[in-house]
Amino acid sequence: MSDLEIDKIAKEWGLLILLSLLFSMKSYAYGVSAKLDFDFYNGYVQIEPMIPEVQKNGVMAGRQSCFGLCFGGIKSEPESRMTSEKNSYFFLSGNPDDLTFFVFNFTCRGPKLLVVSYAFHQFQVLKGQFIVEGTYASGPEVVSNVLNSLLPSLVERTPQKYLSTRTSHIHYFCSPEFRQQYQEFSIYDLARGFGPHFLVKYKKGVIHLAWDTSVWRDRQDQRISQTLEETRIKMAQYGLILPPVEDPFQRKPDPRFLHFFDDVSESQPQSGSLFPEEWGL
Amino acid sequence: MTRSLRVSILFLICGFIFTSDASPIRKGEWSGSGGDGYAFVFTNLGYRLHRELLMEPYKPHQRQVRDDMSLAHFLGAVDNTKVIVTSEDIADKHGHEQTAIYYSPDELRALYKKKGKSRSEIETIIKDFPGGLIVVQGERFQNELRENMAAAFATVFHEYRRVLGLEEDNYRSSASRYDLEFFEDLQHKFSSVTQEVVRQARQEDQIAVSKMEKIDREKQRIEKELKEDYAELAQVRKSRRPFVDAARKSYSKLMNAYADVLDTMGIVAMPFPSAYSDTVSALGEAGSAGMDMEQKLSELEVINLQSQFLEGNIRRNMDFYEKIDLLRQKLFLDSLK
Repeated sequence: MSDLEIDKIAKEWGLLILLSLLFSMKSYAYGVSAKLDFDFYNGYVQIEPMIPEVQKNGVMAGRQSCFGLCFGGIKSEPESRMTSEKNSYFFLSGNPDDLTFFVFNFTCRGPKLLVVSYAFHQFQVLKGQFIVEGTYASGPEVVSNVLNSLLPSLVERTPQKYLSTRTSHIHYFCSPEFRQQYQEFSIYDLARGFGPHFLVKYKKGVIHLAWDTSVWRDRQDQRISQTLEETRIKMAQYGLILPPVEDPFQRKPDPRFLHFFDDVSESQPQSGSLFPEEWGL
Repeated sequence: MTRSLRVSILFLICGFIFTSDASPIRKGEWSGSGGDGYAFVFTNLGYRLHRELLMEPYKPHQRQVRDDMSLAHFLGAVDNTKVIVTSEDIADKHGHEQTAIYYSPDELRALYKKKGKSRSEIETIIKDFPGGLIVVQGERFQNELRENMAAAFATVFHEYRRVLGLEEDNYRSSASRYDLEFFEDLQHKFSSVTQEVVRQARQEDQIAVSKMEKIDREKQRIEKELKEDYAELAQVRKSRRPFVDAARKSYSKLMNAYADVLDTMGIVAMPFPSAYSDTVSALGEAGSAGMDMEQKLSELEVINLQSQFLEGNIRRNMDFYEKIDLLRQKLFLDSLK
């Protein structure tokens, strides 16, 4: 066997291994797709969200260049569920060093929530990890647990009238109130972690995220700074004078952040539905 | 820094302040008070050793101590092992004199049983020091401190490695792995804070010092250590940032490379023939980006551990400083009554 043939076989095996890894991901047929651009250093991420459509025969119709979950195990839903009313939502959480993108789909029958299917992509930048997960859950107990663990801040905001029993809050996700409030893509949690220095815009089907890197410090850096400052203040009470804490690394904001609104919002709504019109979301 | 460590250091130092009472090492005093000044110095060297090993900068192409053993376990060994000083000669199993000997909890059980202690008494004693007991021959250890600090470091290092089960009952393994140069290098890095501790132990061994004086000296020691840790943490923060940025760049490159791999494949199960070479090339890029990411994270991990340790040390010292300051106030008020 020639070197060329060996090389060819090795490459094919490499591809096969990669593909088996991708296919072994525990996932469901909802995902975030391509047209990706990650720049966690300059604080700019582009991502094109997509929910591939699962046909009745179980074949997923999606775009090319699908990233991550779209390659996962594809499961078709029972036809009865396919005809039920569906609500899909997109959320972000975390902070610029630990971003999570969620795609949720709630299958409702009237005011009742029957099935939750979801996928999330988590980018743990400073741990070097990329977590992709997705599945579906049915049954009030299971659905309740899933929502409590993945969307705690939304569950906390459930109006009182949906809290009559331990699991009744799940039906809030099929209510007109919820739909009205979250039908467009929403950012929850993130604002609490990063506030006005984080911007999200939607343009031509692509989500653009940008954050001010002159302001953002990772969690550990924030904690070190806090420890130093507390020590300085506390020990000054005992007469021990320590030099003030200075930020050792001043940086200018990335121009893309400064011109974020100019670049992205022209002739576009500030936010809008992420999903095709025919989905009625 | 764990709570148990804080508590044990608190008791250790309180013991040092209030029970050492400037007494010389008594002949035949095997059980020891644990509060003896030199027992404190031994433990303090253990903590300093851990600190020096942890703060050693990451060297990508060199095997370092942290690659051989867990520094967190080493710290746990210092935390959980009681040290006492004796004037009796200590010999290893071959009859050779040595500076210190380590007894594991099981060996201690057997030893105390021989001395006629009941099972419940033995368990009560051992519960206080789950890591076992290090018995130090006072005179030899004092000589090492006086004449060759590198040898004292080697003794401390060897004994705590034995607690971790990493050494045989001789110095050969640590001597071959970490030669004298290693310990001499440590000696040069040896901070003024630890030198002060050693100096105080020598002084207090010879003259009686009042409780108030001991508290004041301890406060001064902590102030020096806080200054040192504060400056070092500020420095670590400064040097950490480029590592964080490098990790962010590397992660972005890796994610973009993964995206490119999938981009060349399309959505079907196997790649299109036309995309074959592009896919292989993208796979190569992803592999290279992955290795780069791993390297950056190793660097960052070391510096993160250093900052976590310094933060813990600062908080523990501030906490203890407040406590002994309160104690000083109380002693002062009592003296006026």
